Amino acid sequence: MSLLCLHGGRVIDPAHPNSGAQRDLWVQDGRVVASPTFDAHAGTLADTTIDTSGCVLMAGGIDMHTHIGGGKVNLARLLMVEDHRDGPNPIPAEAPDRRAGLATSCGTCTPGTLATGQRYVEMGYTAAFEPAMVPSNARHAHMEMGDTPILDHGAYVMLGNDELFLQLLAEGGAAGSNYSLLRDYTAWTLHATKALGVKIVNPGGISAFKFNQRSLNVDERHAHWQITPRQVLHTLARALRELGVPHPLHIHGSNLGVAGNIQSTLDTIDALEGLPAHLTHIQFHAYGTDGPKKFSSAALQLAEAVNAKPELSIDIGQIMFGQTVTASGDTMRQHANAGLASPRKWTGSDIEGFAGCGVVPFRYREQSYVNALQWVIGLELFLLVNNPWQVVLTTDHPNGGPFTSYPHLIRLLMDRSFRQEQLAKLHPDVANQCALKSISRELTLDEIAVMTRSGPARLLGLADRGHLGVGAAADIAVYREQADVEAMFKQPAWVFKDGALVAQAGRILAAPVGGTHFVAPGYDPAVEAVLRRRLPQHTSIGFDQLVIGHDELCRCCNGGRLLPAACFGAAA
Amino acid sequence: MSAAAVVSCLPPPPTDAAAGAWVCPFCPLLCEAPDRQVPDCPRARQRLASLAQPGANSAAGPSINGQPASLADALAAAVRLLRASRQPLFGGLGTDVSGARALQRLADATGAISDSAQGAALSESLRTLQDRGGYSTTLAELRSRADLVVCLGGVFASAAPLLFERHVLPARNAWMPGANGPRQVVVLGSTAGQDAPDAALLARLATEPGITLQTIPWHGDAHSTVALLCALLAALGRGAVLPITPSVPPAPPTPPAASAPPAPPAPPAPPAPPALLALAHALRAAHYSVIIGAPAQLPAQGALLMEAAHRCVERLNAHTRAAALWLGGGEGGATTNQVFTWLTGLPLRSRAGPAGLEHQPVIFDANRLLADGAVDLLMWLSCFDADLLPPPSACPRIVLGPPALGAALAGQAAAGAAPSHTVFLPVATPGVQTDGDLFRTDGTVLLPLRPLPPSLQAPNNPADLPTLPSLLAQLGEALRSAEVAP
Repeated sequence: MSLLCLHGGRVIDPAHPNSGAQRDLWVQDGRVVASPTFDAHAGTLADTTIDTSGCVLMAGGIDMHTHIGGGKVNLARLLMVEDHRDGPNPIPAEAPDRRAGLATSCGTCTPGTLATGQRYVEMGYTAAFEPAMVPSNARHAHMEMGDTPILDHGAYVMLGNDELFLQLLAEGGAAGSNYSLLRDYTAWTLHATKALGVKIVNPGGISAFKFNQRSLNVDERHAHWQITPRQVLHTLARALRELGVPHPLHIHGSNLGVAGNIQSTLDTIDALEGLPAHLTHIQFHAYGTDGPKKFSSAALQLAEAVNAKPELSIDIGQIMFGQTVTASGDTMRQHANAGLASPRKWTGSDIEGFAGCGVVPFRYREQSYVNALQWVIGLELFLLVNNPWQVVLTTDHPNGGPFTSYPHLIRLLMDRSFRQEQLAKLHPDVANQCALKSISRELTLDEIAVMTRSGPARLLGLADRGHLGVGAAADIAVYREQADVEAMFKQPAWVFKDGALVAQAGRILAAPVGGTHFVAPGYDPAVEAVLRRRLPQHTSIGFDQLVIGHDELCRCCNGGRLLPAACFGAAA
Repeated sequence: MSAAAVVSCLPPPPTDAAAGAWVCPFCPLLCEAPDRQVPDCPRARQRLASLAQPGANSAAGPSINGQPASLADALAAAVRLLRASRQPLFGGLGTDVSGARALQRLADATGAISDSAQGAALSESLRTLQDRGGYSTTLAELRSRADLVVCLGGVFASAAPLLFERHVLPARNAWMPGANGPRQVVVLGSTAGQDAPDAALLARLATEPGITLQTIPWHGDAHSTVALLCALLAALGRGAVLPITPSVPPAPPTPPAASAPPAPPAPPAPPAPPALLALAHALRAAHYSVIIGAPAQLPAQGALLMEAAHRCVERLNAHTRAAALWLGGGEGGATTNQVFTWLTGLPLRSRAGPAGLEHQPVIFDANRLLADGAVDLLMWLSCFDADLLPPPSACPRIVLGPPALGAALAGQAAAGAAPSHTVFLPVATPGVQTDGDLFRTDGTVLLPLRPLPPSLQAPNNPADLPTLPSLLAQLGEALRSAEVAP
């Protein structure tokens, strides 16, 4: 019941009017509350008052696309022993505050879950979402997220490469006569895996690779099922719309990383026929074939397409120079890129009639023409899309770079002279010729707040997160204003999670268990009989074992709160 | 849209407790029994019989040095041992996800080194992954897709008794390429001569109508055979024409890869026995081949053999589709490794030392540490296997396991064969008395364990046992309060 007053700071809350004004923020029972009536005596009314003058207050950060939990992430940890040791020696670490519920955990590209939670909270983030949960691995993904302290979490389940989906789509023929069955199957999968959304990865392509197909364009036929990615995309996007799932289809498109893939990205947008969708790590899908190396930026083309379609949103998947590891469900593309692995090792898997995974270590180098251009393309996209509500700040952790590089990325976006300095270090052909050189836009604090909190909350349907209006969850990051925004965003002065102080000046003070966001759309229960009969042809996991029950989810998430997101009413 | 509701985890609603199949926890396949009957599996029967062996009930309680003790006294004795230890070792690690979660907390607080009873095989697998990586598959892909299955060194009748019955003998999905012919099974280097269950299974498989079974002996040894197969696949990949003729003389065993001279640009294909050459051709012609091995059964330097198998897969995947499947990590081995990895970033054979997290895949081998006297306390956990006794050592021991394991320890104490301090704490077995979660052999499927239906519990199966996580939490709590006490 105690009343907390954050006094004297500037409240950056782009979801509400007067963002950036100096005002007090009041917190009670884990929620933002209205100012008490006797405002003049506010200072004395509060049980605790924290002087936040000279600071900006934002809602807790929300990373809506970060690979933090599940089979491929753990494989990446096992593969990348280099990331978890300093040669043969341990990475030096202070003894954790075990009284705060912390334990030792390490790693940068793929940290242990305990470190993941701490590093995020130290930057003022309070929620993170695993974007690629394979249905057969859902229980594992929830376990890892449940072991990621402090952060609220959730996951998007992968569909559209499972053999049953493709088989039903094929059986439905051109008329799409199985559509309602596929829609109910989609809803059942969300229910069974306790997911917050659906992700499609290389539509049909992971399955096609199992049938030895090596590429699949948007209008190309799957070697066996003879369906096209266009059909898969449209079916899933429509199903989610009709089910009222707040987060629209989360799309990792065809031809990731291929020069000239802008065409398949535009074809993907075209396949949606105006349905809302989120195009993820779009930097990896915005390549042209111009120039002497037949590899060029198609950021402008893509930005124009996004600017013309308000129903689309994107996250960038910015690359950051240095060592990382890529973990993806896209076996077709990861197998093709495995030759570029650095260090030279990689691992992949075909998974259970549902999907696949591939883990390939990468070192992005400033002097590599391709890597330099990838860096440029990401920043161009950030700066060329007009409406910040359509753009989410991500590195597709760890694929473009670890999430700990976000403060650096924010500085690149907010500080043009810093950006030019960095650009000058790149491969000279890129540095001299790119359009980025002449882009003068500098993002504002409001725009950064949209891209890191308010936007993702709205895209995910989290009504009480990502803003600081009355009634919002009191997930609050307090950053001390300074000229160097990288330093500012690296270490907030205070971080509150549901009203509790969890970090102060980069030190974790408490590690409460985070909550699980998920959706529970309705479906015709008759689909269960169909699935009970047909799923066993494709997977060796029994129907009942595929469903994560309520008490099981509690076990997975360590007793954290369950946070069901409301579905929209049936779409008109 | 209304503000999101919040659902509390406590108390759980009684929705899914009764649903679902029984999942057998006793081998890495985690066979499901939708009818909730114990599968007809020798290993499951043996494990259940051990858990419920005569005397298990009478020895159901905690004990100190073989003498019955109250739970509180036994816990207090265990806490004293943990507090006195300067370098504890957590061994066995036969537990599920919740046990591993609790164990990691205790390991972090005590600086204990953790290593599984299957540590040797686990670290061979880890080395393979960290040196080269690989490409793997899962049981459903094997069952529904594979038209050629190559088994390394046997048919795994003891390690995974129902592998063939459940995942190889069933017909492939009718629409899979090549599904109209029988599935080809090739056993490379059979151990049937030394292994009776394998021999019996092989004899049975020879009569199965849905598969063709072929056995090819090692050409030299396992390492040289797989290396040769890999070289043949490489040659075929380069477009070499390698006719299969019986006139090809058998080659001498290939020297180990490490001392082999660097390969010239386009070496001729090595001479090979016709059967192996035929296998190489068959692998190239197959739509989806799976190479299966059990790391614990591989000869010395198994990591190199696994690496060679993955190299075969890599060569094949340049043209057709192939993958490997490794059998192992059952009864908690892979599960504790996964849980420690996700929590800390590092797999087993690690400890939270004064300088940070130390990972020593060779030095932190439990048997080696015990033999060297490098640890001064062994905490041994075996929830699934009542016969898995801690390795002999002079270290004081805290043992957590089924009551039958306590009975065996009491027997040791009576015979004067036990170290001076042994605290035994009985725990429930996930999948028999309690819920739980275990990883299957393919590493990506985590299956829920449910208690064995009462009708299937043996009459003398102990009941009302504490769970491992609850005991570990109590130990941790007692250690913390001991720290703050004056």
